[in-house]
Amino acid sequence: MDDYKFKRVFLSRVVIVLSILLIALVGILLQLFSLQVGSYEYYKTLAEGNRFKIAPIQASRGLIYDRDGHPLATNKTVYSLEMPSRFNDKLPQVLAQVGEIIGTMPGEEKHLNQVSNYLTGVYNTILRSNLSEEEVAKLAINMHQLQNVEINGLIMRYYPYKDLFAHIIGYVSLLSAKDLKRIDPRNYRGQRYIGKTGIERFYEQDLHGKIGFSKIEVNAKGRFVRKVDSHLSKPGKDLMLTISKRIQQSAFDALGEHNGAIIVMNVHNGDVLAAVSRPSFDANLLGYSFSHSAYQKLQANPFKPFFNRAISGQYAPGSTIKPVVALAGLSYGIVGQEDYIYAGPYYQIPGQERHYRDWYKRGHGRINLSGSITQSCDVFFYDLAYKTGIRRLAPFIKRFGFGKKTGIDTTSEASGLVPTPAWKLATLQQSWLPAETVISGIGQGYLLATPIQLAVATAAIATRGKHVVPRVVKAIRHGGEWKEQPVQRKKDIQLQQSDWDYVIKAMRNVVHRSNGTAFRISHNINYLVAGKTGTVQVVSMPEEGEEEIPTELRNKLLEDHGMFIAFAPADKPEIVIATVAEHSGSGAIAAAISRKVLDAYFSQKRAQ
Amino acid sequence: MNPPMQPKILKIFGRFAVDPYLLILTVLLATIGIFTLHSAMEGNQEALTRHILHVGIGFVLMFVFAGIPVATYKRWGLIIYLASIVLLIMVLFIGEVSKGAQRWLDIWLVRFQPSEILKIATPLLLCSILAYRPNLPKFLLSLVVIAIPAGLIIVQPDLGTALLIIASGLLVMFLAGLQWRWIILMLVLLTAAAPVIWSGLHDYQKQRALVFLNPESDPLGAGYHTMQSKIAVGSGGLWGKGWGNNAQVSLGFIPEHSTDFIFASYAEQFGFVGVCSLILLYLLICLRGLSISVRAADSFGWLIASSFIFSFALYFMINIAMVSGLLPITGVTLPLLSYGGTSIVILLASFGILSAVGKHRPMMRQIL
Repeated sequence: MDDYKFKRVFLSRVVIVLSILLIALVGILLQLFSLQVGSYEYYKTLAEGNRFKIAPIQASRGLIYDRDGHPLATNKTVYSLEMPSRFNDKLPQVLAQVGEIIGTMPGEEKHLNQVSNYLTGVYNTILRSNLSEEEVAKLAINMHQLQNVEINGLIMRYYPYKDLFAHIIGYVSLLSAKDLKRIDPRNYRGQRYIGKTGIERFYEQDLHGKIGFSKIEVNAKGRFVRKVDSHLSKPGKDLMLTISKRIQQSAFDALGEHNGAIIVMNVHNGDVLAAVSRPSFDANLLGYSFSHSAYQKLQANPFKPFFNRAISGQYAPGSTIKPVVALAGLSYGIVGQEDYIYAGPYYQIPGQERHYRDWYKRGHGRINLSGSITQSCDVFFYDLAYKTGIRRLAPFIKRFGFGKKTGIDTTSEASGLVPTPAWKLATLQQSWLPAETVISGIGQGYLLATPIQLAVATAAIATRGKHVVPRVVKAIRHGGEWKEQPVQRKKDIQLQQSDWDYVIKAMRNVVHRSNGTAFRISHNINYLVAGKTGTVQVVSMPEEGEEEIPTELRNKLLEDHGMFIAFAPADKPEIVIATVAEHSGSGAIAAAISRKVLDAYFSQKRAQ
Repeated sequence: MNPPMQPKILKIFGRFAVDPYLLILTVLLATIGIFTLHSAMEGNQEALTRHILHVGIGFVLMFVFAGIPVATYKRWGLIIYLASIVLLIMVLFIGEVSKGAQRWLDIWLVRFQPSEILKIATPLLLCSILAYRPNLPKFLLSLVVIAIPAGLIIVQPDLGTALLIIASGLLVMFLAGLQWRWIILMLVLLTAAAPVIWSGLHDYQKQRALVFLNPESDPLGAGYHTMQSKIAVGSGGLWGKGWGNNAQVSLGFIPEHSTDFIFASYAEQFGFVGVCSLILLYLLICLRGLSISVRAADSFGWLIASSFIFSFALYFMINIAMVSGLLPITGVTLPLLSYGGTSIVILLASFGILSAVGKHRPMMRQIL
């Protein structure tokens, strides 16, 4: 019968289908077993990984104070609007939407910053930084309209005094790939900013603190759901500087429109009371008030505002080296305290034609070492240098710290240069010329010194041999107490007491005798100053066959640099000052500038 | 012979009695479904309530359909089929688009998918065609009967449902005794047509197939669903994380977590033990269905019951296989658990039809 056969066939077909399904079912069960039992740990970990992200907690950066407790570098919370960079193709629409909510900023598409989170490898484009509270509120309400953007709050470095301490403190700016090499990346997860120059960089480890972590639960969009666990961050250590805001301000103002540098330092312990460099810049421009156009302008400025002249500026010391040369002459017995020569308008190396001119065209006439310091007689020192010889002069100069870094606790220190025949041969593949010895006597030639080196050498004279290591950070606070930083010293410079006295007296006369090159600043002064002016040629005097004098800063101005070193009070020295006023024309101007700063120091009850 | 005395409870329902085993099992599954959905939907009360409503409607229909005599189904098969086709055509013109496909019809406050109706209408018609003296012309006709809705559904585009209809239709043909030589011929033709079919696929469908073979190749894109699903399932472990603890799902890692991927949520909460229990329940339904099928009174009964029950088995196995990473994303929902009004209603209705078949005892000698 049909039905019978039909059912037969039907049943056999049922069996076939059933078998196939059962086999498939076994397969499914095996797979489920494998997922849930066999590879359970694996999937459990993946599930945890999905859900939990470790988010870094920013550490509060240590504050920086001046020696009187004025805060010079603080922190402020800044809000920025950001979007993961992988959505950059949607930028125009997103910016348009943002513009509708909080208004547009002209030309903003051109210079959007990218930052990266080194933890997740997520790169964000900063759409707007420094949102005002109002803008944050407006954006927050409209967040649902904006896809893939988020408002990030960041703690940012803020410098209330803008350009006053820009060089010595330095600034904090975006972490770059290069910076990764000098830090432990584990402590910088999710951090964007790092100290780039100055104290901010030198003491980065202390200032940065330790970041914390919070384990947070996120959903598939990566959005925060709740906090699960957290390790608090440790704030960075606070720094108290040796700098005095008051003196720094007076030095900054005194230098005025001149480019250059001023260092004011304690002669006994190397505390740097002021370190000014001009031109300067608003340190906030690198971070808190970042402005691409302003930054570009600063970069393009031919006078290099970012350059810290106080520490890295290498200048020919000019006549400010004369006290040291004098000490060399006395020390080697080349010249005696009462030896007089007749100084004409120029000097000649015995047997040579060339005239080495004195700045004073008439010539100083009969003069001894002391007078030559006081009146800054070039001819005397040409002669003294020649007689001493570079092989004795150079090492002697080096004893005062020239040609080597002072060891100040900040970045980018330049080491200056004390040229020697060996050096010239090795570096320039040329042999030393007697002319170079001669001009070394007045601090020209290849000789280069930084303002801080000048300060240290001057302090050595003031204290009759104490060779200090300058320092900027006085104390560090971690938690509650300020911990004083140790004062460092180098080996004393041993010279005859009478030699010291002689040179110091001559330097006093520079200021307080009418024939002293800085006499003008003694007007109405109520403390004793011992100093030395220097007028440094920037362009070589026209003379055939003379080598090009290398200068540190290339510029078109022909005016000489004015320099002045001094210590005060001359009888019981407390501080030194080293001033470089570029293109100011003469050392007397540098002296006048320095007078203002010294007044500021002495006007108050002696600041500690 | 008189029919045996029926238990009292059945008497109350009378002709609308549903097979008790089926009833218990489906109620169990539906309840599990509701609990699982509760976690998966995390507080979307409105949707959950709607789901419970649909479940309720489904059970009502189950009873109603159980009371309709089998002969009616045979007679009305064609009309139901044609009506569904009309609705399907209407979808193409005035249908609502949802999730990239035009599947829904919104008529008189009721929103449903005609393609779901065809999941039982097509086999119904096929069974009535092939139940008596199936011969080649009838088989060819069957192909047409399958092709029309399949084609209309593919255009929606809804490849998954179309494939299911084709599969269940072919199943009926197979069960009805299609000779092996024709089966082989069809297979050969299919293989030959494969490249053509492949090129006709939409990009996303192609991508689904390719990524299926290597999900890790695109973890944030097409492979994402499969990977996340496996993670959710695997992290359930042996005993599961407990009811309500489906973090993977509630945090949004599983898209479609209340529809296609509800199993992932279930597996995460109830572990391997829970999964086996669930599969056991499905199997029991299948067994009961098969039992009804082989004891059915006539060939139509055999065919319709077995086709429904095998299709049911196919659905839940395909879905579980997909969720556990054995198959590419297909869009097949888990029967009785997934959120989706039309499918639950249709499914429960089909169980009603099954019950009707089970009760059908014409006064003629039992075969075998």
